[in-house]
Amino acid sequence: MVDTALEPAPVRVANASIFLATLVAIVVLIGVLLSFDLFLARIDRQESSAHAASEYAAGGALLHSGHASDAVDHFSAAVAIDRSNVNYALALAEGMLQQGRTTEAEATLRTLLDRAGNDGAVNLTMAHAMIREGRMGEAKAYFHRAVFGRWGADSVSDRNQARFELIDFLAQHGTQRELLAELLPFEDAPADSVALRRRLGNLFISAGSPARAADMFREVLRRVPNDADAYAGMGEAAFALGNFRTARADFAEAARARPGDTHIEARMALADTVLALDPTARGVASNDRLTRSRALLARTLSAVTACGGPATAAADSARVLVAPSLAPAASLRAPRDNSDAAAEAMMSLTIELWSARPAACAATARDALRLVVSRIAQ
Amino acid sequence: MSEAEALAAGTRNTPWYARLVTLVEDLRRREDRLALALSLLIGALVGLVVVAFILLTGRLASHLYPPGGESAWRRIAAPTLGALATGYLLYRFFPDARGSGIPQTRAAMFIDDGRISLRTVLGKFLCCSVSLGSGIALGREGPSVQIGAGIASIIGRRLGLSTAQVKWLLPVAASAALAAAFNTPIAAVLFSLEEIMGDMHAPILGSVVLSSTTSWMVLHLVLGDEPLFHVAAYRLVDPSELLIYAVLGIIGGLGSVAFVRLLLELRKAFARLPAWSVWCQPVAGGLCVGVFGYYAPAVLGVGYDQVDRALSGDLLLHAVVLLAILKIVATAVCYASGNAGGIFGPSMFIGAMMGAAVGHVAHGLFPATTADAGAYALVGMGTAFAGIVRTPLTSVIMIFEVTRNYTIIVPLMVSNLLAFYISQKLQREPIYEALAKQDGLHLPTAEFRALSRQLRVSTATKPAPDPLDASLSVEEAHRRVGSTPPGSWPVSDDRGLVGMVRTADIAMAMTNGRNTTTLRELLDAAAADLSDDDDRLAHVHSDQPLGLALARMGATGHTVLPVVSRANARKLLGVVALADVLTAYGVERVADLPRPPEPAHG
Repeated sequence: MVDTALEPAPVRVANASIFLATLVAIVVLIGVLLSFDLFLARIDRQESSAHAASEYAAGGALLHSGHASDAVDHFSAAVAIDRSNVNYALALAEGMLQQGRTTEAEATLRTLLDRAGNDGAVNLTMAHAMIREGRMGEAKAYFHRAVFGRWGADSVSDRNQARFELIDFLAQHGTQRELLAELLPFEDAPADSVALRRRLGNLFISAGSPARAADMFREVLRRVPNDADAYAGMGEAAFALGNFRTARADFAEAARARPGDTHIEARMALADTVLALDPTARGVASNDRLTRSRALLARTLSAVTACGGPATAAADSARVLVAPSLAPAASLRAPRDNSDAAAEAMMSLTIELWSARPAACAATARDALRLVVSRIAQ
Repeated sequence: MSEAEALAAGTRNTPWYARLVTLVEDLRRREDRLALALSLLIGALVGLVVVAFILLTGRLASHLYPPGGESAWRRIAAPTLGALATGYLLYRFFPDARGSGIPQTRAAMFIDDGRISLRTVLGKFLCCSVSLGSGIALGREGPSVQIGAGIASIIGRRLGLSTAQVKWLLPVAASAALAAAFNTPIAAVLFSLEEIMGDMHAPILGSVVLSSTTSWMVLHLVLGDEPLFHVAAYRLVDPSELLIYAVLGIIGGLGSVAFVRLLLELRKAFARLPAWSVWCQPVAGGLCVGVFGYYAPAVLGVGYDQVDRALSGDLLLHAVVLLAILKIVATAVCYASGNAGGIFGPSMFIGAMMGAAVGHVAHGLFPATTADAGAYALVGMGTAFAGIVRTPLTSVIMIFEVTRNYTIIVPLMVSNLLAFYISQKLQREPIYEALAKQDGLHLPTAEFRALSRQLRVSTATKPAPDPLDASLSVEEAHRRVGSTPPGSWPVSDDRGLVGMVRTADIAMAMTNGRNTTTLRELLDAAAADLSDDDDRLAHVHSDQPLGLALARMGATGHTVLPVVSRANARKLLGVVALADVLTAYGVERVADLPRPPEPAHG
């Protein structure tokens, strides 16, 4: 028999039931609200993403049409909506760069780099910002980080693009050695990439490696016979190697492949000038060699004097040697050995004068003169 | 048989149910476990409700102001109609859902025994969603606090908790609400203690922290790990910049006072209008913000996107000055006219704009030695908050949490303290207290809280009289204390204090013929059912609150308590008497109350 005195009071039981029911209701409510909130948040995110994407697309279109200011507004809106998207922030920085707001672009990029320091595109844009700010050393570093950074799906193409930007940068602001170092990985570029090989050929010339350049152009010609650019490139490589006659022949082929190209014609004319000026050319008679040496010395003296060259003993000697009264008689009377010796002396004097020319002369030195003097100095 | 056992033996007599009921019953009995469980549940529930509130408000706003398709007429129509609709709802169905929510939460806590009705919670949620979504220039944090506190109040009462327990749940829920609304779990804890409770040492600290953390976790689960504002890594460029931050503090303080006074005066003016117009008064706020929004859309709504732009230095000088002025007026009119929404968020907005304005001028004048305008906007946010809401500690931590930027803390502290000081000097009453007073509610003021904190036992401690020796007989003791007014005497032995004996007990023992009984025996008999030594020796320490002495006098029946050393409870430092306690509280007519006898000198 149950002791009725110990039976629980009904109110107390009810309280316990209400207590338990309330706790259960709270837990159920938490579950329902969590589902509801997650649902709302998902819709919110989808709408926000779509809105941000449309702002980004609008900004991109405006940027391509040259309206950087309006584009930046759209990119800013996209970034404000979706801050996690690196592309939006990157586009904003690019827009700012185009607007000339380099400091703000740099700040935006630095924030991005804090999040994605290894991102190739971000580092590449940062390099552009550094160039705009004239900080070439930092630009070079960011270019390198871009080349070795992380890229998206088409990483090889993007990475090569970044490397070419670095190469272009180095061609203007770097040393030939740095440029060549970046070019060497491309020596084994795909054979079917004719345009790439053409470009590499020209860059190898800039990097002081005309033999590699010639190889590149030769490969182009193997695939595309009568390619005027390749012949012109071969001509430039030959020029750099001091093979003026070969250069003349290559430029002639280029002119045949693309008649009327003024640049090619100018280079061909230059080759003719150089060939006429070069005292070391094969098959030139002693007297002619002497005449050419004197003419070369005269041009060198004239060029060096024109850019404020120093009044050295070499310059005085050169003036004496190229004096008009002396020149014809000396050339007529001189025996072959003496002519050769005189020509050698004049060429030595030419090299001495050229080497001692002021730095300002480098910019004004005429191409033909430079090519010939470089050739005889080899 | 316990209730749990009884339940288990009842109709639903299954083992799992019995175990569950035992568990529940255990939870009910153990206050610490209940507090832990409720902190977690309330934190999660309030966090989810506040997140829903934020998302729904945002969705409503995006429908009323569709991105890219916004036309100017909407900017006047939406807030005006929104204010009209919510004005009627507030008047007709939810009168307690008007305004911010923080004074109302405090009123519920200090006046209404922690009671906030379900109707108020629903009304606050609905009306604030509509008014904030329609572009009314108020904030969501205050309403979130009231909604959260209301949920806690309903749960507490439904669970059958005592009034004191329900009251304790309110700040717990308030911190959860603020943590979710502002994504600032630490500042939420501080705000809850500093503003809602008014006591940084409240015993519910653990529950407040737990609920805040839970709510914050819920927020991150649903909305991800995104700070409310995105700020560049600003820093102090030059030590001399602190002077400019000090100037910002002064301007922030003056701006805060201007805002608070304008709001209070406008509220007073609206209160003077005929009672029948209460339902349509919010339209004035809606129309005001609508007209402002027609020309400057950035004034509409909470405006955190504009704060973000100011923090990034994107807004020009004339824009930030204009926005600061328009927001001050719009928020004051919206709030004073009775719209539902808080001033927490607008304070941040106003501060950011004022800061950005100072920053633009400073950076223009001293570009080499000053940070960008965004850094000043960041500090300005905290400055205005400290000046308007008057919680300087919360504002410093809040800015840190909102921006996750540590480097600007020192300038922020300088600026905040100046703004706080100026605001305190020029506008004596903090805004929430002033608002409550306008509604006829007299909440505990900061002065009262400060006074309570200042009143310690040491304030009323007097030198102790010469203790009676524990070996004295009742007769001898009566001879010594007989002529003194009724009270209690310290009793000691060779090891020090052993207790307090009431003169009334000595007199009664004499009457009962127990003349030879020693005082020790008398004390032992009085404390026979007390096992704890501390209980046997009722005492206080000099650094304890004076209120504790009063409570202990009530519990022990002694009108005089010994003040003892914390290092040695038997070392008597003095005594505190009821009369002296009351005198310390400013109660003057205490001549009839017993005071301890003066110690015998010489």
